Amino acid sequence: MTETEKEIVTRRKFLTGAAALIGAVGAAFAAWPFIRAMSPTKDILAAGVQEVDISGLQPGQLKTVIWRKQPVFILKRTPQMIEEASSVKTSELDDPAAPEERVKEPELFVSLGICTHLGCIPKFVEKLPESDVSGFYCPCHGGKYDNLGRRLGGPPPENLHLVPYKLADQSRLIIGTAEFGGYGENVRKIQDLPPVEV
Amino acid sequence: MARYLDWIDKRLPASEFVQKHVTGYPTPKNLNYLWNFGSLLGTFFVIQVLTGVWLAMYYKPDTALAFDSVQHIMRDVNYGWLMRYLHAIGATGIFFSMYIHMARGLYYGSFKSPRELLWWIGLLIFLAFMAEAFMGYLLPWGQMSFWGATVITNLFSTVPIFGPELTVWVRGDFAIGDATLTRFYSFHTTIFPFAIIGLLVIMHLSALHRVGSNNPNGIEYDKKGPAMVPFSPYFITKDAWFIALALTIFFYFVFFWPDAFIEPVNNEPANPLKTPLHIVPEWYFLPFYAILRSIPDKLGGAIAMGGSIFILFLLPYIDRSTVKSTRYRPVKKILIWIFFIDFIALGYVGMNAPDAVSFVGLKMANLGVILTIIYFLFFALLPVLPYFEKPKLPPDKELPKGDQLA
Repeated sequence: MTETEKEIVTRRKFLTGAAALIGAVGAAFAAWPFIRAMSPTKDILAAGVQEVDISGLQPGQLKTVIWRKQPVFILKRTPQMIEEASSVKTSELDDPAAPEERVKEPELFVSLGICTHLGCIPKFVEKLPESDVSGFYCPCHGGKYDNLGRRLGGPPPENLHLVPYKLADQSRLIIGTAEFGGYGENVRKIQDLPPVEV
Repeated sequence: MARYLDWIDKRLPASEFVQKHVTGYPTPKNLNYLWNFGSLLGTFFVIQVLTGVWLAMYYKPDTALAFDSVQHIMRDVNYGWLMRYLHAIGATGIFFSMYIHMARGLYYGSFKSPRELLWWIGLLIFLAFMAEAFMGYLLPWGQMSFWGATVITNLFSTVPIFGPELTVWVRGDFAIGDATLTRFYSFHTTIFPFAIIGLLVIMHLSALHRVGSNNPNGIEYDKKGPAMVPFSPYFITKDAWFIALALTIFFYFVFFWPDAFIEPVNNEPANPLKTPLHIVPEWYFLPFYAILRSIPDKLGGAIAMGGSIFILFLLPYIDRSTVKSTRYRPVKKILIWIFFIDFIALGYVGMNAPDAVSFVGLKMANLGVILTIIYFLFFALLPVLPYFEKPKLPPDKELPKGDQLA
């Protein structure tokens, strides 16, 4: 191979490589609309703020409402439940959170009703299995939470996630905010929640 | 007739293709009946495609209409019940045949050189069918459809950093909903069966015809030697007979026990506010579901389940013995039967609630842990075997009596 031929081959290799690279970048850009077209649509994201009438909620009663297609638990806690939860040692929890980090008013607990393990809906029980306190029990794989949704045992990795809410008055609960748009409400402490405007 | 065939052959290598890949394909004459499951899989795949296309004529992928459209197919569409039951039982046919097909490969060392790529393509087909079956199961929009999809799509949330975002992206909504149903329908009926599975099957067969079929002795026979017979008429007849037998069993289920594999709770429309007491996947996912549940940690469980399938890809490198067939490997023979029984036992654990007590007295959750350890132990022991296992006969030199090939 002469020097000129070698140069031609190098040039050709370079041009082939450059063309392939540009092609790959183009393909990546072309893939973007397809990836984004699978993300939630505007109307799904916009299903933001919701008002719930809680005037009929009795102490000890659990109300489940749908917010953004997901169940939200609204639990009116009895003094006994408040006592039970405060007897749990925060430092011994796997996902530590003090009671005041889980509720704004001690009588009302609001959270996503989705087990943080694999997404089943836990049930509220007066007595958790193998214990004598009230809480949420997930029938799918045996996850246990206390009545503040804090993980006590079983496979769930975290506490029940919280949702932004505000009591407009004694009978009206506002769930969600217009800004709280993104994905994955990875919120476990009430202080982290964005403010709800009424 | 020959005149017309000539006309075609001059323009398209039709006869040449059939001669090379069907009638003339050199096949080891000592294949046993375990080698019939490949063609059976092909048969079931054709049944799935045909019935699927016909079901799609009446099925409506809309959360408000899906459940009722299946009832419409069952009650009003002419032979709609037949299409649906063929399709539902057909999924069981595919997975049943596929598990035996894979177990055969595992037993006779069909994953060893030069068939590594053949094995890997096969595993990709297995994964593609798992995805295909999982997406198809959402379509009837029953309770188990909904909650099975919820639990499994939730596995994406274990991905570090952007797990929750990924889950929402996969679902197209914060929960399984209309967006999820329509995209699953789209994938289930287009790209997955025709592009992904179809293409992989062509690659699987091409690779098979390059390296040739393995055989119970695990010896590479000369393709033109006396150990081979042409595919036609010998194996065409054998396959046809076996397919007829398998379809007889298949049709027994279709006509006399069509709901054998349909969860009763799936006859209830999906209700996002009511979790069924006990979520069970279809039977063919049970062993992997048991592995998922046996690790008491969300991410750990997902990794164990993924690993239990991924480790099969490493088999050509894990199983280092030069002897292919387990026939001649006394220690692997014991281990592999423990493995097969372990796999079925995992299915039994996956079928039951974690707190239920198994027939050996252990809680399902604990039994699942033990069986999961045994599952992975099998693969951990394979690389060590060649150091002490004495193969019964060096099969590349001698053949056992009775297997002597003319």
